[in-house]
Order: sequence, then structure tokens, then C-alpha cells
Amino acid sequence: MHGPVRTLLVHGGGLAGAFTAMSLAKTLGEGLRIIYARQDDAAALDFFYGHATAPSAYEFLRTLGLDEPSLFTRTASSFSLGAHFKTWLAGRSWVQCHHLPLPLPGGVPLIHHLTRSQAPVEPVLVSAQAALRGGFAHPPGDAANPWSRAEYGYQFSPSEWADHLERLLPETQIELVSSPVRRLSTDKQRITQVEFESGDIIAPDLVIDCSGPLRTCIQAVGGAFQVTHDVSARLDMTRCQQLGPPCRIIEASQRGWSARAHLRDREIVLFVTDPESSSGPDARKIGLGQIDAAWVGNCVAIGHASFITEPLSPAPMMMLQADIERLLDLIPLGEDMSVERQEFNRRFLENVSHTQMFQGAILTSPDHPQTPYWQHAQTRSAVKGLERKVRQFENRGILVKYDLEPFNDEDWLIAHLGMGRRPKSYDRQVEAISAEQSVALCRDLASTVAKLVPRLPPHHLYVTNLVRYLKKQQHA
Amino acid sequence: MDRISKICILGGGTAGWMTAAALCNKFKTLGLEIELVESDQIGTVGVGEATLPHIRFFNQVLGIDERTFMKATEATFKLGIEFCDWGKLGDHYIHPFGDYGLPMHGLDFHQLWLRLHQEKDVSRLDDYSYPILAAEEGRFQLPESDINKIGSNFGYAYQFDSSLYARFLRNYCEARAVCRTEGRVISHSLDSESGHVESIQLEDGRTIEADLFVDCSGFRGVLIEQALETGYESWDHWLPCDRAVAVPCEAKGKLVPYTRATARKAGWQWRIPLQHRTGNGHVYWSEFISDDEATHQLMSTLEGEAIAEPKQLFFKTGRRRKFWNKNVVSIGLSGGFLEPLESTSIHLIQEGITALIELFPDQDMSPLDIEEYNDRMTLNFERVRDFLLLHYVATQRDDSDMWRYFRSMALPDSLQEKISAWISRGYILKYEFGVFLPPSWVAVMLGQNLMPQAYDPRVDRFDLAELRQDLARIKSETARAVRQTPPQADFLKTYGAASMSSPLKASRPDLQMRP
Repeated sequence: MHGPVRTLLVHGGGLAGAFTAMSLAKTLGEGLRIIYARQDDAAALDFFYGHATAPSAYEFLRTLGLDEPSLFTRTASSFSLGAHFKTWLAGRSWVQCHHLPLPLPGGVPLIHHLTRSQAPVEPVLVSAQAALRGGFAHPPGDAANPWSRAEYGYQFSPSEWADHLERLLPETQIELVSSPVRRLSTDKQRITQVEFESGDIIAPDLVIDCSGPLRTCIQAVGGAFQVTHDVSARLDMTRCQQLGPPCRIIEASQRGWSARAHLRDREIVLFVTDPESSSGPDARKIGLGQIDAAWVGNCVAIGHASFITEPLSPAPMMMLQADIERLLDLIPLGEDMSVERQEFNRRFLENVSHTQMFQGAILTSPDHPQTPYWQHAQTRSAVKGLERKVRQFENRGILVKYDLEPFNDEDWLIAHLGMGRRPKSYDRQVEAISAEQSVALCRDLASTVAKLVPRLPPHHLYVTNLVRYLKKQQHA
Repeated sequence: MDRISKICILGGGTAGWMTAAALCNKFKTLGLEIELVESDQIGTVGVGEATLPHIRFFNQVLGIDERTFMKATEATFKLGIEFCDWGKLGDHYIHPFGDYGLPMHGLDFHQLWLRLHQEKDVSRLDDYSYPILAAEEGRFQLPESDINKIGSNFGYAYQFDSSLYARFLRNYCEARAVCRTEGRVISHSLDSESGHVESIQLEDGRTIEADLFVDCSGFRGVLIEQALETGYESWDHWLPCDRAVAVPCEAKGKLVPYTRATARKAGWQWRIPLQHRTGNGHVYWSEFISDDEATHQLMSTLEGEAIAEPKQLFFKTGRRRKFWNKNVVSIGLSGGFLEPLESTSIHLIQEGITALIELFPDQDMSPLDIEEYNDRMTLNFERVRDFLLLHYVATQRDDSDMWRYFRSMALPDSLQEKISAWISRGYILKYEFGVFLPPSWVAVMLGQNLMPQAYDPRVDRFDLAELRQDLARIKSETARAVRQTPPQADFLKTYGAASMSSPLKASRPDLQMRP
């Protein structure tokens, strides 16, 4: 008894459109009609998804058809162990790496041993050290091997991924419409009919707005996007002969920051500044912010249509994935979508808040430059819940957690320490071993990492061999 | 920074001795002095003879051998709770410790079941749950270590005599230099500046000073309330039962590995099988039933002879406004009370202890530690409260004033949303922190006849015939695994956890004099 929901219209384009259309095709039964209406310009801000994913993208991408063989033979993607904040606020520098849970010596989180021994965390983070050295290999399954603690995402080009998926769409049951919308008819927050320039008319049961900053459909039913701050963003692309390190490199300047991503054939640098000190003629103004309700009536906004945050971390890609997973969990069954809408919006706001907390944790600093970009960054980082996290960490290294946060304990620990936050004291359970033993423990972990990392192949060689291998497999 | 050197635990019930045991074990190298004050004249309430699986972790950390512990406390294994007459009279279901079925296609198993159910398949969701089937048959064995096997994906807890557990832990503590002081607290002194409790005075004139006091004095809250006047947030509009009467009786019949909670007209009745006796109690709302009648209802439904006089308890559901106030941390009933419908009392003690250890203060009692502790415990209590309330409101009963009260109650938004999402599509609103995870919600909602009207449309992607086959296979493998499981009484013996004592018999003089 699935009621009348039969026709889903995905309207928009770019990464959000291709991801959403493909996800629906891969998850839903044949009984539902999925129409993908491409809209030009919907992908205009896709570069602002950033050029890196988190490890959690792996399974999601695989289901979409972006498995590693396709990523490495069809696109210029490379691996990402995280982001190297090379020069950040007040001259800070660290690798915001992806890492599996850290050891719990004697059942106590490692941070307390580090605090007690006044030891730095970075030498014990195998993925941080590999990123700094530019080495990469697939982490093994064998838990005894310290490299198994590393996790990775990808460095990629959003347009390349979207193009690749679009080529796969004709093999699915998705109906493609490539004509602009002429008219949207609405009735009490419901989109009842969509008329295209081609003359096609569709009466959708559910509309998924993937039109990025255009927000064509969600605005038509009253979804209001609240811009908190404008920034200016610009891309610089250079071809390269040799692939760079398996991480993005992020640097702060007085006017904002830049992130350099390393793909197989090019380097992409994204500059983000305040709009007044706009960086060149091709700079685009982008309104950071969120929509008040991402699901209004029978229309759901996905990706940039609902939320725009800076790609300082993989947050924008994590949020896009979360949007789609949330939608798949709640594909409505009938015309009354109130339960689905309410739950979708609840989870959306929770995801936004969690994301903003993490972004805020990297942007908030008492010693930020007194410039417009950084001053604005401080105000938008004043997110509910973050203060408690910072306070508790600085007090005694407690990682406060809220329900179902996208960033894990290691992400938070590394970010706090990277930003120069140091716990004032530690959990006294560490005193079960002597202070010397704590020091030795941290030293031993670091020395294991130091021995292992130089044995990893350079990222570029590893990827070259991987691609060669995958191509040979495909021919065989 | 000034370290804490002396802790005083006030009260020697389950909460007091669990706290003492955990602290003396965790902090054994710190040279902390731990003194527990208790009085033999003051009875303990003996909360929750039934526990949740987390208790195993608590014991493991203490290095307690399971068999020794089970023998010493007359413990039985517990696979879940059977709820009788909750949805409507005559109903019964088991809320198991464990998932249903096996994870398939990345979807919740109950969604696959819902689809078959809508196709007129008659299997119960319970038929895919090893712990439910084993419990129904009175069987038990430890979970399989191979996680791919049916019979591995469940947890278990215990039913034990909590006064024996307290005694067991007391021996543990006294062997580890915890000092036990016999005495009654008659007064306390507060520091005039900070308002911290400086010392307590005992009836015999002794004074005990400490840096940190853990108040395990039960409902009275001798320090947290009588000394510090912390205040209590009452939840009796949600959970209005306010009294209980408890009595042990002779054990009769098969030793089942589950607790039973039977709904009554003005409350509910528990039955907890131990090795040597059965614990019983009737929790009720005094507005709708007299104490005498409540006692009569209990005594007339015992399965064996009572082996003690019924004991009356009074309580108010709710929590202390601050679990931790100044230098006093309240753990156990002094911190709050939630009826033992889901065996959460000992679990909440355990949560309190875990948080105290992680946030163990220095002498300055950082407000940050206190704030974090109180935030965590508040969340724990509130989430248990909502889950308990679910049992009362997911009902079709209207045969008494109490049930009509619940049927007309306006629910907290969070609970209403959960129920609506379940009914419309079998969707579970998830949270990460809090003791009851999605399978528990599924068990209670389905068990109390909240049948979803539809299932997740992603299930339609799968071929119905294949789905039928897959589920049939899981069902038959589950049944087979249960057939291979021994009866609990046999398992207790072969495992070496059967107690040496003989079953308790009614020994009241009037009974003995019978011809």
C-alpha cells in the first residue's frame, strides 16, 4: 500500500543532481518513475563542494558506480589522507588526517597519556605522517600492521564525477529531460505540475531540487535560504606532470584561505576571501548559509540548494551524501508527507548544526587576523554546542559527543590539538601506570609510525601502478 | 592543583558498594582513601534485581569471575523481559537483548519482515530472534563467538539477589582497603564559604571528613537533598506510579531466563526468577488502588508460597535537579527514580559511576566537570523515561482509570514523533546515546500492537520470492540454533554457575505449624 507516490522528479544538475538521480535508481524498485530534468547553471557552484571526500564516501560512491576502478581509470581522482593545514591561524600547522580510532592504553583514551606526557599527537598519527611525506598505499586489513589505522577519501574534480555519472545514467531506468523549465504550477506548497520548454509536462509526486544556488523549485514552494555571510571564491587550475601528495594543502592569509588539491593531471587551488577584497575577475560571490526547512510541501532541497558551507574540511561532500541518504531513508509513500518532512527537516538541521560545529572548530581562534574575512568567520562559528565541546576539551580532554555526528572522535581530537587547544588536565585513570611509562608509551607509538611511513611508496608511483594494473584488468 | 585524597560513600546498598568497588579498582594506584558509611539498622531498597547486559562489562572491569559471582548472588541468566497484558489483556511479548534477524541489503531487518507480513506471511518477527525463542523455551547458552552465526547476535544480563550482590562487592572492596564504617548519620557541616559538605557526624559521635561525598543513601538523599537542598524534578505526570509492594516467594516450575512484567489495572507486577527463589513486586498508582488491595493482588498471584512479609515502598518518579552538586555526587535512588519496568536502576547507577570516573574531580570541583556530569546523566534519565512511557501509552487497554489516563495523555513531542514515524512506515527515529537502541523500540511498539501501515519502499527493489527464501532460511536456522541450546538449569550446572544453596522455603511459623 504505497499510496500514490509514483513519480519522482530530480530537477537540477551537477554533482547533486547526478548523485541524487543515480542513488534513487540504485535503491528504489522498478515501480517508481524517476525523471531527471537537467538544468543549466545548476552546477555553477559545484567547485565549492571542495575537492576532497571523507572516508565515509567510499561505500556511498561504490553503490553509485563510482568504485575505485572507475575513479582511477575514468577520472583523474587521487587519494586523500586529509588536509594539511600548512600555515593556519597564528602560524599553526597540522594535518587534519583521517584515522581509525586511536589506541586506548589501559582502557583510557590516548589523549590523556599525551596530555600527561606533554607529547604531541601528530607523530603517532600514521596517516598524518604519510600525508606529510607524500606516501600512500591501501591500508591492509591486518590490524597488527599500524598502517591499517589509516583511512582515506579521495581528491577529485566535482565536474568530472558528475560527467562520469551522467554517462552511466542512460543505462538505468531514469528518464532524462534536457529542456529548461517553462513553468512550475504550485498549489499550497505543492508543486503540482512542471512544464518544460520542449512541451513535456510532468505532474510529480515528489520534486528533488538539486539546482544548487538557483533553488528553482524549493523557492517556488516557499523555502527561504538565509545567507549568513558572503564570501568570494575563485579557482586556479594548473596542469601537472606528476601527482602531488595524498592530501589537500590549506593555507590561511590575511584575506581568507586557499586549498590546493592534487589530482593526477592537475592541481586545483581554491581561494576563499571576503567579497570586498575579491580576488580577480573570475571570482564568484557565494552566500554561505542554510535553508530554514529543506523539505517544504512535496519538494526536497539537496546539496547547495539547502546548505552552503566552506570546503575547509570534506564537510560539503559529507553533507551532500547525508542529504541523499536522509532522502532515501524517507522516500514518501503517499501524498501526506508530514511524517517524512518533519523527520527529514529534523535530521537536516541536526546535520547542519554538527557540520557547523566542526567547521567552527577550525575557524574559531582568539588570535585571528583583524580583517573582514576572519572577523566574519568568528561570528559564524558561534554555533550552539561548540562552546561546550571546546570547554570540555580544554578542561581535561573530554570529547563531548552529540547524537550521530558526522565527524568522529579522531577528527575532533586532531582539530582541537591542531588549533592549539590543550587540555588543562587529564583523566586520572592514566595514573594506573607511571609517568615514565606514559612517556615511553607515546614514544613507542611514534617510533612505530616513524619506522613504517618511509616504507610507503610515493603517492604518484602508487597511483600510476594502480592505474596500470586496473587498465590491464579491464582488458583481460 | 589539589588532588582529592579522601572519598566518603554514604550508604551501602547496591549503589554504594558498586561505586566503592569501581572507584577502588580504577584508582587503586592513586592512594585514595575510600570510606563507606552504612547502617545495618537502615534497610536497603535493593533496586532492580534484574539487570541489563552492560552489567557484564562492569563486572569484567572489576575482574570478577562470572561463575563465582553467579553462585554468590543466586544469579540466573536473562535474555530479555516478557511483557504480559500491556497492549491488551491476553497479549504477551518478549523484549530481547539483541537484534532481529541478520542485517541484509543495508536495510533494517524488520522492514523486510514487514513486507512479507503485508504479503500475508504469518511468521512473527520474533521467529527471527534467537534470544526470544530461547527465552520462550527456557533455554540458554553464552553467545557464539563467531559473529556470522545465528546465536551470536544477542546480549544477556542477569537476575540476581541485589543484597547478595552488595555483599559480594563489599567483600571485594574490603579486600582492597575500602574502609567500612557502621553508623547512622545524624548531622553534617557545610563549609561556610563554598557550601561544600565538610564532614558528616555519626550517631556515636564520630566525624567523617572527606573531599568528595558520594550520596548513595537512597530516596532520602541525606546529603544531596537534606544537606544541600538540591531540589527534585518530578516526572509523576508522565509516570505516576508512586508505590510498590515487594515479596519473595518459593520458585516453582522451569527456571526461565527472563523477567516478567505483567500489566495490572493500576500498575504492573514483576516476577524475577533467581536460583533459590522468585522475586515479585507490584508497582502501582496509589490514586487508583489502595495499599491493601495492591498487596492482595500481589499475594494472590504468587506462583509459590511467600517466604517473607511483603515490603512496602514509596517513591516519586523524577530526578535530582543536579545529580552532582558542589562536592556531593548522588548515585542510585538519591539521584532519581524510574520504575524498574525495563531493569534500568542498576544500569543508571553504572552510568553514574562511569561518568564520575571519567570526570573525577580535584578538590576545586571544577564547575565544568559538574556541568558535564549533570548533562550526561540528565540525558540518560530522560531517554529511559521516554522509553518507559512508551509502554504505558502504546496500549489499547481502557479497562481501568489508569489505562484511560494514559490513553488520553498528550505525549512529549519527541515520543509522539517516534510513534508516528513508526506507525506510518516502520521508521525508527534513532539516537546514539541512551541505553535503548532501535531494536528495543521495535520490540515494544510491535509487541504492543503498533503495526506499521507500510514499509520502507527500498524493500521493493528485492525479488519477493528470494526475500521469502532468505527469511525462511534465517528462521529455520534460528529455530535449529535454539533446539541445540540447553535448558537454563542444565547450562547453569555444566557451566559451573549453579549455587550450592537449596531453594528457599516458606518458613513463617504459621505455615510450619500446618499439619
